[in-house]
This record gives sequence, structure tokens and C-alpha cells, in this order.
Amino acid sequence: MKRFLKRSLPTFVIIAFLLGALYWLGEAIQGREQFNRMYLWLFGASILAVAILSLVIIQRLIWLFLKRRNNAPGIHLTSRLVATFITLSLPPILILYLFANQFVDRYVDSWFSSDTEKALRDSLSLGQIFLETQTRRNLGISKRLARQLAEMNPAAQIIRLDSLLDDAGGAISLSLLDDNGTILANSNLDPFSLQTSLPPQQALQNVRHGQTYARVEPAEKGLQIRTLVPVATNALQTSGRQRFLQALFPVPPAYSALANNIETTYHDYKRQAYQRTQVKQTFIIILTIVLLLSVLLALLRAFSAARQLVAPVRLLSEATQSIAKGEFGHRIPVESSDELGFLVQSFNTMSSQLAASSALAHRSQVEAESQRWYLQSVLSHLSSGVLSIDKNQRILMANAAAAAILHLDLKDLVNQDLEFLSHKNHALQPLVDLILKKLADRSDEWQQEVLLAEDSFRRILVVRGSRIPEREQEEGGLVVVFDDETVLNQAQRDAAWGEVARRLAHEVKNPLTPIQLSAERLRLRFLSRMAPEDAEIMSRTTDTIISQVETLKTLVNAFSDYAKAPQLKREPGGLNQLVREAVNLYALSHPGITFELDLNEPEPVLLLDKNRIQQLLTNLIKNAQESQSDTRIAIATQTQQQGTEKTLVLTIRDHGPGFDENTLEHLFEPYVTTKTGGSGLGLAIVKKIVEEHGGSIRAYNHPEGGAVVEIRLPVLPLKDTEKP
Amino acid sequence: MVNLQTHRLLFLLLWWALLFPAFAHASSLAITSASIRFHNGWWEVTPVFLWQIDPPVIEAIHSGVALRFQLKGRLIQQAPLWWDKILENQNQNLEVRYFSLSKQYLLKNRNTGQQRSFLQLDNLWKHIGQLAPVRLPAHRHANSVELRLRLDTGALPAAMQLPTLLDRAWHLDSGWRSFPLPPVQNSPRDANKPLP
Repeated sequence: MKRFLKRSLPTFVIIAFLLGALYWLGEAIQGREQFNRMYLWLFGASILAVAILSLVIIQRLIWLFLKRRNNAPGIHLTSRLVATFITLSLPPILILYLFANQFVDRYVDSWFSSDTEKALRDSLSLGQIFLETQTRRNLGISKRLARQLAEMNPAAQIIRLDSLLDDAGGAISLSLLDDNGTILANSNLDPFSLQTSLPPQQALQNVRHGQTYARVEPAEKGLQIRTLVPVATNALQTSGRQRFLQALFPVPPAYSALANNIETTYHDYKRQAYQRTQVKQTFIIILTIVLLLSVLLALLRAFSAARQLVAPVRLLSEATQSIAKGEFGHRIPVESSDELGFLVQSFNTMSSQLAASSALAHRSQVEAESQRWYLQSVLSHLSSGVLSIDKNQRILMANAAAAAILHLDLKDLVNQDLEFLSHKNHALQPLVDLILKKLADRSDEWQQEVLLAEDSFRRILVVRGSRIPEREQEEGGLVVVFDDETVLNQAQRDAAWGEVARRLAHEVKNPLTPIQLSAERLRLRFLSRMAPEDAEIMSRTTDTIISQVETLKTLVNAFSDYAKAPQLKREPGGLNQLVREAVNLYALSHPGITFELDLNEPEPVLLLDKNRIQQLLTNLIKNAQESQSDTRIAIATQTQQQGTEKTLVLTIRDHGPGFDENTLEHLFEPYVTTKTGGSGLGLAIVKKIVEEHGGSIRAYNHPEGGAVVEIRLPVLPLKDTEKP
Repeated sequence: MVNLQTHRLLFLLLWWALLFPAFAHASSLAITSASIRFHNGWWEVTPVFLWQIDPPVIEAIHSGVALRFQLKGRLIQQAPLWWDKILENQNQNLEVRYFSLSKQYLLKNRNTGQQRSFLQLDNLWKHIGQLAPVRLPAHRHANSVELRLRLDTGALPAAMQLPTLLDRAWHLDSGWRSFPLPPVQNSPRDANKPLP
């Protein structure tokens, strides 16, 4: 209530002032003298109010137009409300205005009638006749008095004036004037009235020409009749100057009041008749101002009411937009207890609930995200490759291990079709076929080994699949987990061969020395005693035994070396020097071989056991030399960057027929050789030395011919090389 | 082109039609001279007016509308290159009305109550100054007197005020007219006190 009063009080005051001003205008028009002087000011104030209101309305209309153009929230409702207000308020105001105009016209006309005018004119004529009768009578008296005065000498005229007043037929004042209008003598009935009013100049002029003057004129109290007549005095006695007698006769108070009433009423009527059109026009102007003020105030009220009504709607609209943008919990102040207030309250409740739900959803999302990240983290740390495939053969998820095992980039996996894997890497076709088959079979759980032939590599993947239940998100899909079992198999084989070698060395090596010694003893003891034919057989036999034992010893030593646990003495150093030394050593013993060296300069620093690397290089060079008829051996080193790690790649290539494709898979296993008389341990030992140095080895046939052995050794990080 | 000229002509005709009532009648009022007399420490100024009263005003008088005039007089100290200083001022309020019963015009000084009747309106206009001479106390620094006679339109009936505002026939205002004060033998010694 207080707020309503505070907001509306200025408007009420202005409206009250305007109504008061219009009332005063009306009063002023009807002749109230106290409002007369205020009329123009009130009129100006009303016009000013109309002008200000018009400006305010224009401003509101422009505001409405601009808001409509910008499609502001709630503006259409405002427009409709304003239009409704105007439609409702304008017709009755206009009708009232037209009727009021007609009423005013008739009301003003009703002031006048021919009968009234005639009666007033008759009254005036009657009054004039009465006054003329009185005037003529008094003029007659004045003439009689003038004649009496004329019979006297000038001095007596002045003396006898008082006595004439007694017989003056009701005159209250007699004055004797000369032709200049100067009062020569004066006689008043009222002894306190010393001053006598002079006759009008016109009257003096008249009497100078011998005429008489008699007129009714207003006096201090009522009316009086002034007469002025010449006094026929002997000119010789008055020094040639004329004398006039002025007499003032009061009109009896009763008649005077009546005459005054007639005069006032007649003048009022005549004045109103004269102002008839002006009064009508003024009333119409005032009514027009009232109309304009009413219309403008109605418009203003329409805007105000529309704004009040639309404000909650606008706030609701803005709040809804905020919620649509995801800003939940938006609250609108409840300013009323009506239906709109209830709507606002309901909206606030809904907004609060939405905010709570949103917070819950956000928390769930964060939890889900956290779980997803956890799962991804787990998956990324798994050594097994994991693929999630939907029923449409699309890869939904893959971990880093999967990408590494499949030799693909992770980004090439996710959201790709399964068959895309085989397009990227043809070697993966068996894996793709297996997964497609299992997808088609709708097998729940399965496990199978897959052999991937990738150039010279043959890898064994152990693949396990599990069907995603129908109720899960990726219904009908598969989760495929696979491991590269190639390394594991190799390690198992290496371990087995190591055990074989160790047992062989242990079990075979021990009896060899007694066999050799026994054979030598037999030779020494019985050779000289035997017949020459037997001695020769004995000699050949023992030589064979001794030589074969030597061979066996060599073989057993080789196996012993292979099985020996590594006792490395690694130290930082370069490979180039070791390569050069190995090449030089071999070149001396085998002068027909041409070495083509392409060594990386500056060379990286490696952590090497020089003796073992020398052994490695000797084995490889020997292997290359023995496998070819051509005498060229190319040795190259190259540094490669893989992520943050550097690797030195050493390649040794011969120009022979290359590796047999069938033995390529088991090339680095012991006892695999294509050479006659070879132990089959050379490349196995090379592989072992490489693995002891944390590197990897692979062999393949060069496209242009010849076998290539490629060794990768880790480069010592720069910071480690800088250490003293 | 023809249409444009026709529009212009119509516009001018309409404009003149609107303005014509305002300029159809034009009364004039001017102060032609003034009789200035120094008497008993007072300046008595009797102005002489030149009148030209238009029929609408005369019609209003005959219709019973009383016209009120304000005769203003002020004693001025004129200073070169500076604003004039008003030392004294006096207002005389006069009323002119028609007395139907006797068919006379009545001139009344509302300040003194003194009134005179005239048979003809022209005579009233001629003698209006005589009934209301302006009396201003003498001042040492006074060197001129200014007079102005104007119709008090605020005293007219309210219904007439707005139309007369736009009608030049009702613009009865002489404007200020300045008259130098004649030399006086016994010039006032104290500006604030009238001379004996």
C-alpha cells in the first residue's frame, strides 16, 4: 500500500491539480473575477501539461516501436494491452466529448432568449424614459432658478444662491460658474460636502452656445441628474463673462437602485451576448484540453498498467531463457499475490528443482567422467590391447596398447570401421576376419590365436572376445582383448634353449676330456706295438676320436657361452670405433672382402660392453661373409628419434641370396642355420647380446637382394652422458 | 509542377485566412507629449495620448465590457553606457465603461475614485490623461520620466482573454515613452525627501 501510494501519489497530485485548473478555468469563463487574472496562466499550464504528456506518450510509443523491432520479451503483450486500453477508453471519452460540446452549446444558448432581451431592453427604455422625465423636470427647475438669478445683480446672485437651494425642487447642490468653468459660488445641501464636481467640457461647450445640458450620471451613491443652464445676466455687470447655473439632483434611492439594477443586468446580458461565441469557443477549448488530458492520461495509464502486468511475464521470459541457457536456479521476486504472483512462485519452485536436478546430473556426469577417465587410465596402462566394437562394426574405444600391438595410431582406431584396420595394415586381415566372424556368430565369449604375417615378422596374437549384453549401451557389440604372445613365445623358447645348452654343456662336456685322454693314451700305448696295418687303423681312429672330441668341445663351449648368464661391463661409448676395429680385424684375416661403411657422425653415446659388442659384430660379419659369394658387406649406423627416446640403428647387409623364408621366423633360435658345419648359435648369441643391451634385432631380405640384419640399441640420454 | 504551385497557392491562402482576423483590425495607442510640472517637490506628469480605437473594442465597450487601463510612470536616472536606474514609479488604474441609461461614457480613476462622464468616446480618450496625472516624488539624480499606458487584458472577461491575445485590435499599449525632466530652479537637494 505504501509503495503504491509512493508511486502513485505524484500522478494523483498532478491529476488533482489539472482537474482543479480545469475547474478554475470553467469558473473564470463564467465570470468569477478572482479567477479572471489566473485564466491565461491556468490555460497555459493546461496546454503545458498536454504538451508534456504528449511528449511522454511519444517517447513511450517510440520505446514501444523500438522494443517491437528488437522483439523484446513481453513487448507484444504490452502492445496488445495498450491497444486494448485505448480501444476501451477512447470511445467513451470521445462520445462524452461530443455530448459535452453539444451540451455546452445548448447551455450557452439557453442563457439568451429574445423575450429576455426584449424585456431587458424595455426595462432599459422604461428607465431611460423615467430618467428623461426626471431630467426634463429638473431642467425646468434649473431654468426657473436661472431666470430668478438673472433678475438679480451678479453680487446678489452669489449671496442668494443658498436661499434658492431651498426652493430648488430637490436639488442637493447649486453652483454658479463662469464661462471658463470656474465655480463662482456654490451651495450644497450637505454642509460637509465642500467639493463640487465640475461639469463635463461638452456641457460647458453646449451652454456657451446658449444651449442647456441635462444628463443622468452615476454618483457616489446611486444616480444623479446634472443640469447646466445659462444665466441671462447683464453682460456689462459681469465684465462680459457669461454665467451658468449647475444643479445636481439626486435620483431617489429607490429609483436609483432599480435603475442601477436595470443598467447592471442589461450590461451583463449584453456582455454575455457579445461573448456568446467566445464563451462557446473557450468551453470547447477547455473540453478539448480535458479530452486530450483524459486520452493522454489514459494512454499513460495504459502504458503503466501494461508495464506492471508485463513485468512478471518479461521476467519469466528472461528467466526461461536463462534456464534454457543452462543457468538454473534463477529466481524472480514475487511482488504480488495474484495469479501472476502464483505463477512466479511456481516458476521459482520449478527453477529450484531444476537447479537441484541439474546439480545432481552434473555430479553424476562428473562421477561418470571420473569413472571413464579411470577406465581409460586403467586401459592405457594395460599391456593387452582392448577394442570395443559396436554391432555396426565401428570401433568405439581402443587403448594405447591396442594401437601399439596393431602398429597403428590410436586416432586411426577410434570411431573407424573395423575393416579400416585391414585397409591401413593388410597384415591385420586375419584379426579383422576373426572379429567379424565372431560378431556375425553372436558368440558370447571366445578365445583364439591369430597369426599375423607382417613382412619378415610373424606375430601371434591371443585374442579373447566377450559379447556386450543387450541391455548395455553398445548392445550387440564386442569387447576384444588381445595380447602379442610372440615375445612371450620367443622368451619361452630362448629359456628352453638356454636350459638345453646349459645341460648339454654340463652333461656332454665332462665326458669329453676323458674320452680325448683315453684316445690319446690308447694311441701312445698301443700304436708302437701294433702291426703297421693295425697301427694305421689305430692312428686314424684315434685321430678321428680326438678331432671329433675337439669338435664336440667347441660345440659345447659355444652352447656354454650361449647359456652363460650375462656378466656385462657396460660403459658409455660409441659404436663406430668398435665397428671399425671389427672391420679392420676381419679385413686383415680376410683380405678379399670389401666393407662399405656408412657410419653416423657425430655418433651418439651408448652404454656398451665392448667385448660383447665386438663378439656381436664379429659374428654378424662372419655370418655375412660366409653366406655369400659376393665380397661386399655394407655396414651403416643411423640415429632415429622415437618419441623422447633415441635409438641407434645398425644394419649389416650382404649381397648374397638372402634368408630362407622358412627359417626367417626362427632365425635367431639356436641351432638354426643354413650353413654346413655351422653351430647354429651365432645369430642366437647376437640376439642375446642385443637383448642384454636393451635393444632389438630383426632380419629381413633386402628388396634389391641380400640379407639385412637390423639392430636397434638405445642411445644414452644426453644428461647421462654429461655426468662425470 | 502545376500541382505544386496549386498547393503553394492553397497553402498561402490558408495561411492568410488564419492570420487575417489577427491583422484585420489594428488599434494603436501612443503617447504624443506630456506636460511635466514641478510642484511642491513632486513631478506632475500629464500625458497626451493619440488614440485609434478599432470597432471591435468600441463594440465591446457598448456591450458593457469595462476596459481597464494601467498608466505607469517612473522616474529614471539615465546613465551613459549603463542600464537606467528606476528611482520611483507610480501606477494609475483607469476604467472606461458605457452607461446605457444616460448614454454616456464613464472614466473612473480606480486609485482615487474620481470619475467623469463623456457624451462622446473621443472626448474620453482625449481627456484620459487629465483625470490621472502621474505624480512622482523628486529625486536629485532623476533626469527623465517614462510613461506607459496599456490595456489590462487580464481584467477582461476570461472568455475574451484568449481571442484578444491574438487580435491586434486589442493590442492597446503605448510602450514606454521617455521625457526629459525640465530644469528646476530649486532642484531637490535630498533625493529621498520631497522638497518643501
